[in-house]
Amino acid sequence: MKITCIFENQLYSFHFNEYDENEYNRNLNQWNNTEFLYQFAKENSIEDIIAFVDEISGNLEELEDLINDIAESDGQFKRLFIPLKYSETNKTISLRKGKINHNRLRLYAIKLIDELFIITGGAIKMSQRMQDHPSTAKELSKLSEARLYLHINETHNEDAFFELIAES
Amino acid sequence: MKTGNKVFDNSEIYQSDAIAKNKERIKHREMLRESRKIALKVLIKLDDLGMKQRELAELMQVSPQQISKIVSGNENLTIETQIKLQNILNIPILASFYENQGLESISMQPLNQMYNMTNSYTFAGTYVNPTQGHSNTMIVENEPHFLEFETAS
Repeated sequence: MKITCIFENQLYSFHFNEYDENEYNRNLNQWNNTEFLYQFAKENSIEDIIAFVDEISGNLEELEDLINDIAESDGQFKRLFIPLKYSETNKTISLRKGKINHNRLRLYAIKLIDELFIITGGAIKMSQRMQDHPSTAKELSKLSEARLYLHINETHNEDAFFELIAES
Repeated sequence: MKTGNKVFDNSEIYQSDAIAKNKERIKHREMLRESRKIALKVLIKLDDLGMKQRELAELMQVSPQQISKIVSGNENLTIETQIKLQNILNIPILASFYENQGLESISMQPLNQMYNMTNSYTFAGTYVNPTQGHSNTMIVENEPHFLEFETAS
């Protein structure tokens, strides 16, 4: 496992060994892949697949616009996230609901220090509670794995984090 | 731009390719939307026919990887590729799909107008082909049963 930079000092992403890409790229690429969305809809017994793909693609366009807006303006990626309700530490974050209403797409991240977020994964949210759908339930275990990785590597402050980044 | 007391300048901040790629996707959004629609038509048709992507690749004489790109909805497809998909799968992609089906497929509504010209009744049938975007007029003489038509909107 390693951590890669998406936007310096603000946004980073975990890269799990089991995947070819970091979590930010992997999720954005999946959501941009029509065949992936089509298969996902079939697996989840979606009746109107065309409407579903259109909805998710619209959600993705909103997300892409927001990311672009942040990158080109103030670089404050904290605008992208809000705390996850279930989180025990209040440091685990999901995509900001206030900014994007009714958006099914979620990026999950851990806030390490002020204004520094590390993406741990993402999912198309299909249930109210994360535990109730396999795709979001898996994200919970990835969040735990990511937290453990940061703990083991003693990334308790900014210096320790950037040291870890430099090594990976 | 200011953030707090600092002057924010992101020109020297490292941004991964992912941010640039995001910008590119926004720039080409219209094309990607069309590509996605075609990809969906192909995926649905393949399922309906029970056809594998590999079989479609053989029929189109392209690599399976090319089909994979097509159904990803991220490809800027050439007209040649679109014609192949349209003809092999019989799915509407280009205007020619409708044009080749003939005028009988065009739904028409009467305008209920009749013109009396010269010594005989002359009736004009006007139609607009939705795939061509322009109208054609046909003049029919001595055929009092014809009314003027336009395509239903």
